[in-house]
Amino acid sequence: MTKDTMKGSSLCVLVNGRSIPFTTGETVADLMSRLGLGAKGTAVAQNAEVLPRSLWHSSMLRGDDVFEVLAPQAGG
Amino acid sequence: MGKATTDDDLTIAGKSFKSRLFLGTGGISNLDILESVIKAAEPSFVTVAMRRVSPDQQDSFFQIIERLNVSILPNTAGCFTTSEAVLTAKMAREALSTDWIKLEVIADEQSLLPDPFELLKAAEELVDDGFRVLAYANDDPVLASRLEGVGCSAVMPLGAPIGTGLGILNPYNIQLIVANSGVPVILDAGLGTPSDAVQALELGCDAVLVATAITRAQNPVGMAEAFSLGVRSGLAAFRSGRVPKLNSALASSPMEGRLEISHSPHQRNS
Repeated sequence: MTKDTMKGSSLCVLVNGRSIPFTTGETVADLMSRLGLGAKGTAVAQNAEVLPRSLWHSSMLRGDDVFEVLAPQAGG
Repeated sequence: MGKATTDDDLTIAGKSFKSRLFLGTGGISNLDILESVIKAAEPSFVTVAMRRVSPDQQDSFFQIIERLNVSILPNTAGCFTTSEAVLTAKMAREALSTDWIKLEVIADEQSLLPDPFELLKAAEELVDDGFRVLAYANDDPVLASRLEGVGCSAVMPLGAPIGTGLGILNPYNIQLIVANSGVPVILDAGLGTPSDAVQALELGCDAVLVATAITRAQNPVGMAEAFSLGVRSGLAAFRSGRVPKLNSALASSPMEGRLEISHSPHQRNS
């Protein structure tokens, strides 16, 4: 039985360097909504690959996934 | 001069822009004056960095710049490696629906100078991925040529290190870059005052990017307007053909027709 399929186990992903627990079956869209992220102008990378917004609803979270969520800020 | 500066408009990657001023947003003290600064500068582009977002901050900056309906040029400010810069650029493309990127890959946090090796690799990778790359570089004519060679849409040599306000430290290299470049040359970083921007345009640069000199000025709105005037002055001067520098004096007034003082034998005594 893999870590991902053990019911009740503590699954976490990293989001902008913070460890965030999640439940099996949760999608990236669910995560963004739960964290209050994902407004227009936001981009997500999952494990160093850009995840287009159109795929958020169909992308399931996996343990130890690393997410970067970036948006434009003053700089440069 | 780089491409198309005999035209009124600045042309980069086939698109035309009215202003020779790009505005960087780094150093802006608060978002309340951002709108006023942008309106005073009338820039062709406003550059923005890409940073981790938290729920309480994610809306305000993007909402402001989106509402102002200005052309946004994302950058890879703060990236130290090819992979960081490439991922940041791809995320910027996803976030802002643009394949234009101002590419910055710096060597260290002290000098903030570009890392030419990582920069060139990143530029090539991004151009191959369909990006329009405007590459922030050292004032190095060889690097500028290499960046153009891998397909950059513009080269952006520094005048001086970021934030120093020292102006153009090596005008001879800037002139060399301009003379050899087939893409627009946008002087970027280190400008301190509008006369630096005037000098850049007079040297043949197609545009300048200014951040610190405006955002950290005592009166950012006033300084933005001054830079807007400065680039127009510099471009007009470049097109008007300056006088050469001479090693000896050349009278500007004719010598013929000057009066001569002579004394007549009949001159009355005073």
